[in-house]
Amino acid sequence: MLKLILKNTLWQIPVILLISACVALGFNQIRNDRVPLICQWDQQPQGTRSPEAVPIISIDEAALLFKNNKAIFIDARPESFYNEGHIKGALSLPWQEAEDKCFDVVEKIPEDIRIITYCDGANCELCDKLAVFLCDLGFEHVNALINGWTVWNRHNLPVNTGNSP
Amino acid sequence: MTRNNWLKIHHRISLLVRFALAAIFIFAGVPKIMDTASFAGAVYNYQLLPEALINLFAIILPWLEVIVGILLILGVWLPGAVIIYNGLLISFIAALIISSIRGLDISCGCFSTDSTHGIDLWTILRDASMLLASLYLLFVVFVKKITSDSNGIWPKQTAACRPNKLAGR
Repeated sequence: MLKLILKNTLWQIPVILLISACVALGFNQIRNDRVPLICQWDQQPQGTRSPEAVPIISIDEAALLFKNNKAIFIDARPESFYNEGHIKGALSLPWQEAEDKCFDVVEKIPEDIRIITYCDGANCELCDKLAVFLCDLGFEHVNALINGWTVWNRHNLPVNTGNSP
Repeated sequence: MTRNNWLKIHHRISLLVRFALAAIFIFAGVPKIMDTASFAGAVYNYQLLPEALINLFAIILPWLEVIVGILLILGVWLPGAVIIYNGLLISFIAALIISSIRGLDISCGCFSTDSTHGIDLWTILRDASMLLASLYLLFVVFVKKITSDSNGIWPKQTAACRPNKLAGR
C-alpha cells in the first residue's frame, strides 16, 4: 500500500507541475497584457547599481498615493512619448537625457515626497534605471511602477497631454 | 463516544481542513493571475530568484496554487497535491523568514499584489499555522490511508473481512 501511494505521488507531482506550467504559459500567451517569459530586471551592469534595489510599487498603491497627493511621478520615456500622453502631474525626465536634465527636474520635486518612476512595457528598463539614478542622487523614497503607462491607462486614472505636467 | 463516531468526526475535520486549505490557495492565486506584472514585481523585490526566472515563476506559481487547490477540492491526485501544497508553504515561509532577517521592507505578495501588505511576524505565523494544517492533511493522506480500508476510514479489522482473506488462501 505504501509503495503504491509513493509510486502515485512520484508521477503525480511532475504531472501537476507540468499541467500548471502549460495552463499558465498558455493563458499568458492569449491574454492581452502578457508578461514576457524572461526579462532582465536588472539592466544595469554589475557593480554600478546602488546597493539597495529599488522597490517596485503596485498600481493600486501608486493610485492611492496619487489621489492623496503623496507622490510625484517621473516619466522615464523619451519626451515625444511624454507629450503624447503622461500621468497627470508627472514630470518628464527621459532616461537618455537624465544627466543633463536632472537638475531642472530635481528642483521641482518637493522634499519628503515619494517618487515614482514609470515607463512603458513590462520589462520596464527605463524606469528601473531612472529610479536607481535618482536613488544615487540622494532621494530616499523612490519606487518604480512596472509597465506604468499601460497599467495607469488600464485603470482609467487621470492623464494629461502636451509638455505641461 | 464510540470509535466509529470519533472516526466520522475525524473524517469530517480532515475534509473541512482540505477544503479550507484549497480555498485559501485559490483565493491567493486568482489575484496574482489577474495582475501577473505586479506579482512579478513582488517576486523581484524578494531578491531570491535569478532575474531570468522571475517572470516564469510569477506566471506559473499562481496557476500551480489554483490547480493544487482545485485538485484538493475534487479529491483527485491527493498525495501529489498535498505534497506540493506542503512544499510551497515551506518555501513561502522560508522566503518570508529570509526577507525578515535581511530587513527587506517589501510587500508580501501573498494574497494580493497590493503592496501595502508588508511582511511581519503575523504574516509568518499565518503561514506557519497553514503549514500545521497541511501537515495534518499530509498525515491523513499518507499515514491514515496506509492503515485504512478501501473506504478511506480507519481499518475495520472486523470478523467480516478476515474469513474472506483466509478463504482466499
